[in-house]
Amino acid sequence: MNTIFPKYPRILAIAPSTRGFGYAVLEGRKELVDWGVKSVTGDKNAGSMEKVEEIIAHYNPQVMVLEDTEAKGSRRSARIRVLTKRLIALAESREIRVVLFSQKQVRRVFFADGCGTKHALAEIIAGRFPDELGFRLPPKRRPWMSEDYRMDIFDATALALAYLYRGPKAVEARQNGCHRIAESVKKSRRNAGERGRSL
Amino acid sequence: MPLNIVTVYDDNKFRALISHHAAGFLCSVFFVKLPFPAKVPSVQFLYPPILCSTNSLRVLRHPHMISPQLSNYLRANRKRLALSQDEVAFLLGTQSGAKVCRYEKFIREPSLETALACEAIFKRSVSELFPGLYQKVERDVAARARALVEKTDRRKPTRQTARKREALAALVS
Repeated sequence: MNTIFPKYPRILAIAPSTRGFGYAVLEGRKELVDWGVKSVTGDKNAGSMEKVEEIIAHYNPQVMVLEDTEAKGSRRSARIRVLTKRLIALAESREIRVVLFSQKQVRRVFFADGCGTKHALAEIIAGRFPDELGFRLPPKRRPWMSEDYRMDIFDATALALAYLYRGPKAVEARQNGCHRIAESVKKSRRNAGERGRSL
Repeated sequence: MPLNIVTVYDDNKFRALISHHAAGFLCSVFFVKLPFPAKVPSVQFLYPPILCSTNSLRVLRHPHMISPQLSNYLRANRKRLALSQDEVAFLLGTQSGAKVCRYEKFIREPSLETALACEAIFKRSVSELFPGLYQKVERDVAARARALVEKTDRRKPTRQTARKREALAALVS
């Protein structure tokens, strides 16, 4: 961090979850600028949108990386799918480039065979940022335990690193997916307008 | 030093505003006369770095544009040490973490004493902790150095003025 003249765009990665969302901001030589979890109560999507707007206003990112919830095999809830669409619309309104990665694509970046657990992925990321995330790595989840809230940070960081590690060609390919979702957002808005309520 | 080039299709409005906006982002601005509204994609192809309209102040960001530096990196460094804002405030000798929060949100600029205390806490130089502020100060100094060079050039050349010119040239570049 703190290269006086960074050569990379500032990247904001958001990983929505049941509690709120995890986020990571990368800049410069693949260095973490900010990371954390934002918990939201009440209307989670509205609360999350407010908090993401605050982060965007503070860091003014050039790229936003999100999980592709429309990808084949994605099992994200309907609420998170809607939130992702709203985040894409928000990024587009701020002229931030949106890049989507499916879970599979993220794993392909970090594992040679494309297979690995969330904890293994978190360990790799903690190894990549030992000062920042090393002490935040949660213990391995046992079958009777629910997921640690800190895993959202690692999910978000994995998305941001996936953007950095994959070549621009792969990213451009993902843009098609982004446009597909943007189209679906517009379509949903049109439908919602017809029904007299917003998305 | 300018890092980015902003190409603006000019309609003779908001020139000063755009220049000011670009200066904050360390950009140099080129105003290009184009019929408005211009077809943005084709113009962007001609002027690839960045393109913005003075009408709407919309900056079409180039995917590989360089990020403008943040004013400071106190939050990242604080989080790296797993310190809370109140704890950093205690180390800085202030009453509550509210002041630290204002520094982190770029609302307030720290005093020299606070900046040096931050250097002592985070073990990073002040210019690394406050790169955005440092760049702003550096730019201002360079502008003043340019004015001083012009003033020095008008004087009779001596060994002393030659030395001075060398030092100022280093500041300007």
